[in-house]
Amino acid sequence: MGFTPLSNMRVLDFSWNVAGPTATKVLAALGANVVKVEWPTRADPGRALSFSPFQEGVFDSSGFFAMLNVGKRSLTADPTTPVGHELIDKLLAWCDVIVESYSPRVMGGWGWGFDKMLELNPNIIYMSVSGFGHTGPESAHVSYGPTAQAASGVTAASGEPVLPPAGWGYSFLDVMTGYQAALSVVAARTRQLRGAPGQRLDVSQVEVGGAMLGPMLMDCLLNGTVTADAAFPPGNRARWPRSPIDGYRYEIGAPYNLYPTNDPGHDGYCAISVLSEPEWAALKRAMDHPEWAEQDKFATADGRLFHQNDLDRYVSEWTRGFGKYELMDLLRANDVRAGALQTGRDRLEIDPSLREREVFQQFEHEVLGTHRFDSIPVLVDGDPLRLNPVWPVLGKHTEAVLAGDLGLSAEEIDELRAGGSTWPSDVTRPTYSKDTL
Amino acid sequence: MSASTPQSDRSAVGPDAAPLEGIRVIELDAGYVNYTGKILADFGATVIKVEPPGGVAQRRSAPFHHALDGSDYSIPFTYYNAGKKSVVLDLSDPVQLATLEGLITEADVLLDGLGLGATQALGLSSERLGELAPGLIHLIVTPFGQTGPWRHHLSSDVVALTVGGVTGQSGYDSVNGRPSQAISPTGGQSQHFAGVLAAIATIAALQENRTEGVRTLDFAQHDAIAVSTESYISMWEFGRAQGFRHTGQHASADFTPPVWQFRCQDGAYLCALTLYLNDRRFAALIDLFDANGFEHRLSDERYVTMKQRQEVMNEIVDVIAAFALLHPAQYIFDEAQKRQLPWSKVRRPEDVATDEHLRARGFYSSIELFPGEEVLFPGVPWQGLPSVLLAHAKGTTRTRPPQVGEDTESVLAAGAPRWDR
Repeated sequence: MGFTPLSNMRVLDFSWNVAGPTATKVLAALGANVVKVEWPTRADPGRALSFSPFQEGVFDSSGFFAMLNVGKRSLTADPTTPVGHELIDKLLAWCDVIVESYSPRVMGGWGWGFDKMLELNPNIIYMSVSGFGHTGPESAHVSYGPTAQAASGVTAASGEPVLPPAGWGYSFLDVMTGYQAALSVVAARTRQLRGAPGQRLDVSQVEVGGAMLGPMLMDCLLNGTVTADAAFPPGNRARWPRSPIDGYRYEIGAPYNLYPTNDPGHDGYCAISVLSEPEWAALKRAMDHPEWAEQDKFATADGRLFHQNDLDRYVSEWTRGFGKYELMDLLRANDVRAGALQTGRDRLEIDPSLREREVFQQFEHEVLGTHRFDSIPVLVDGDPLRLNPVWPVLGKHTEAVLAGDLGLSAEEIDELRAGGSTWPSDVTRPTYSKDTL
Repeated sequence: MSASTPQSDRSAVGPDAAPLEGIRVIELDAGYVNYTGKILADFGATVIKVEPPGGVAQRRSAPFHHALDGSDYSIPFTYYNAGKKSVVLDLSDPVQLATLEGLITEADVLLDGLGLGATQALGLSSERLGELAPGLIHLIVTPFGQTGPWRHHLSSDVVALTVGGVTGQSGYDSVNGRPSQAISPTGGQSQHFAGVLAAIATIAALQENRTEGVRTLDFAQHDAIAVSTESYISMWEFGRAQGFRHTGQHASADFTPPVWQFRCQDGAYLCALTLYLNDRRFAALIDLFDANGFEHRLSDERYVTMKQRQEVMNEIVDVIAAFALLHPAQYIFDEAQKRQLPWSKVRRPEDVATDEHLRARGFYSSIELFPGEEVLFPGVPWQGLPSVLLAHAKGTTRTRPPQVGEDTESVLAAGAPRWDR
């Protein structure tokens, strides 16, 4: 028996791009019945995102889209026509949760403010995902993940002290906001199951960023810390030597950094952390007790923190003699905390832990073929939680949802189809293979 | 005996209550389930942190709050433990271990962050937990999971982010072809990925309402980070491509993509997304320049279509860079957003701590950290739910983190089954 605790939860998903679809992917992985609503002339822009082996105008050829939307079904309806509007009214009455990630005015502009949703469905959970939130002086601001990262402080909290902000090399706040949105939906669901009246959830990416920097913001609020006046951020260190402020990793020690190896290219690094005296002794053992390590200035944790520049130079000379995995294995064998810098390829093709725990799961996608997909990684009673290998091929499930979930008759569905209400008459409906559609 | 089953606790909870009102959670932590426990407490669960004598190590973790004479208060401990209760037990003592078992008999959730094998070593196998508390959710978070070839290894913030994939994407452009610097972001992020996924799975598992056995949820920090890097797994899986790191922006398969982070007149930085410069936004950009009397050549017909612009994007980037050097970052942020350009100042943490928008939305709530001392506390990112923190702000319950063992007597006296049962 699988782990499908949300199997009775019906989710109507109007969300786009990355953050909202991440939330509904998590819900789907836990068993929720997620129906993604789009109209082909305004389909999720995520369908056109990178690494699409097919030509433009094909809706289901993006591998990244397939990663983000696994486990959901697709329904096509046009919110701007009376018939489509009425259909979506019925879906709003049917669902337990509606998720959207448009700009704040869009749903209301179509006539679905929260008040209208409550009329249709008094116990509904309405989750909106946006950059700055739907209230407050900056609620009209527009953003993508990197905008929210800059606005929330997470970009500035990454980098070397004297260089420009390094930030995050991807939309961390799209991913993390998706998780936080799923979390608040699951929490609201516990209240809905007890009969709570409709709930309006408003998740903002900037606030998610703020929550991810919690203690850092508290340090500013309580102690008046100004990070701009200090050696911050601390690069890859736990704390910069002689810095008056913390490095906000909430652990301390040295060596603590990324070290070069003899692997060529840009990714030949290995992270090492020494957090205690036994770990320092373990590192010295792994290095075969070099003479430099016995200097007095390295004898205490404070000394090693103070003299990190010297220490890191010595350690780097040693680490350059190994490949990154060779170094990681040697250090781990000596009980030193170490991790090779892993790229996407490394995680997929080399990492034995991710493989054994089935973190990337292989399925056949009807358009893309057989591929590995990011799972929601948890072992439940010892078994990896498996994704449900269903994808929202555009419009594929419209009739199944109308009949099976809304209970429409075959005649009603025929009429909708004939009237162009389930697919626009001026858009060619793609056929990907003989088995599709 | 006043002990009640978890199910009867839950059925007594009304529709207006916080999401996890009536849920009892035992937290055993050496640093892995702290954040999950915070989330459950924020949603209204009673979270009992069982600490060793002297308290958990995080109580001594910098930075500290120095407001009161000579008394240090760990800020990370405060942030991750506000609203929890603290019971001190020495689990090497069989009598006190039996007290822990007594607490578990009343619990709905056991948060297990003691490290690989530690609870089993205490005799708390799945079978034993199932006897103690039928229907219990046993949530375990470790660096690399309960299974797999890396399960015995320790990690750290920089190690977890590096081996998990975040660091390899983040950092600086290569200079003169040298290997580019990789950077692991700060804030203790390595614990947040598994922490939040674990909270989702735990709350979902509570909705199963199981009354027998134990649900074991085995999360690895490494696994959670590895699936949380946006498109970088699909980039290799579908495109056999790898990303190069770029200063202040996304890694990309392009070694020299158009820049989107700019230094401004005041030395602060601006995130100005050139990545999504469609016709409407390009017109807004021209308007921004014109309104500020900034001369440029972007009205030329070479820049009319998006396709044209993409081919000469570096020319546009140069113009934005020159404009940025003439104005403070906050000014450009405000003026750009007025024109619906998705740009932002790269704000420092101290800017975010004083941000009017976040304050207007109630992101910061006031808590009583010490008797009579109200402080602002970064709130929860889920607006709209009655959370314990918000309830606390109304003075109904304790908001601050517990002193070591502050609740030992009251929790054990409140009818918790004892070791002699």
